[in-house]
Amino acid sequence: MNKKKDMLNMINKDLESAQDKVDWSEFDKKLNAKLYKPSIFDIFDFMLKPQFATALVLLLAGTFVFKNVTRLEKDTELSIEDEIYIQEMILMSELGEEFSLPSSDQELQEDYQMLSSFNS
Amino acid sequence: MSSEDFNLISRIKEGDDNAFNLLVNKYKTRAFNVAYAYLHNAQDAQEIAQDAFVRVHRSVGRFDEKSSFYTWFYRILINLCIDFRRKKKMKYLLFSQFKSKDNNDFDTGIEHSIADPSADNPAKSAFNKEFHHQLSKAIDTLPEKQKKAFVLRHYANLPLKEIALAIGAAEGTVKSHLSRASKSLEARLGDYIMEGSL
Repeated sequence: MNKKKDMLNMINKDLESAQDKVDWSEFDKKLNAKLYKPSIFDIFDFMLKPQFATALVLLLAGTFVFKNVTRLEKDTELSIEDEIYIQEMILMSELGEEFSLPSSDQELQEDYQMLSSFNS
Repeated sequence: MSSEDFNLISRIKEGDDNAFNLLVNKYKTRAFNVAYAYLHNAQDAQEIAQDAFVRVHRSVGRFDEKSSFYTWFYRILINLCIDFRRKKKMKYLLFSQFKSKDNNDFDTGIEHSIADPSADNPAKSAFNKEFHHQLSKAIDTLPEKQKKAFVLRHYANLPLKEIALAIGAAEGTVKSHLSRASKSLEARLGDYIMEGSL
């Protein structure tokens, strides 16, 4: 019986020396930090909520629309070179109508006669 | 369940953080003691005691209040301790090839028997640490039910009735577990008990 009592006393002493190592205010601080830190389980819980699924679908749909709109804009957008080329073409066609080269000898003859009449 | 605990649990369920702090203050020392008996390391015991309170905070809504709070709480705590030890052992098995063969206590987490030079009596300090080391090993060799009963009785100071509820056994069975556990520990720690009581 005494042996048991001695053993329990020694166990108590061992426990007391372990308790001396504990800073209880630090214990409370760490506990509070753990309480308000989201755990991986919280993230899973949140992912299972319908609001999360709705938000995810909206996000995916938004990304899809945004990507397609920007691609469409890129397809229809003209580069500076393209614009210069088009302007040149317009100018050329305008000039071409006024100063088009004669396509046949007859036209050449007519132009020549017209110029001669101006000169005389 | 005591009316005080019942009141605190009801308030926690309504989101009263102050009630939760009161509950923590009431049980934190005993929670640490139980975790220490299982893990033999003050640092690990603090971590697990904190984790048990976090579990209580998160799942208090599921507590049906039919059993006493601390029966429920100690179940959570002991399960966390067992889980922690299992993980630590797994880590040891995975990384043991990188550890030296002398480091036999890596899996148990027992604090090493190094004499504290600041202690008044270094010889006594060394003896206490050696006793702690042997006690930890002896507790670990007890069958699980004996271990639970012994820890809840002598580290958490629970009455027999509550231990019986916590481990799901009759009071007579708990008495038998306690008696066997004490005899087993006495046999293993005999030399240390004689020396320590001188």
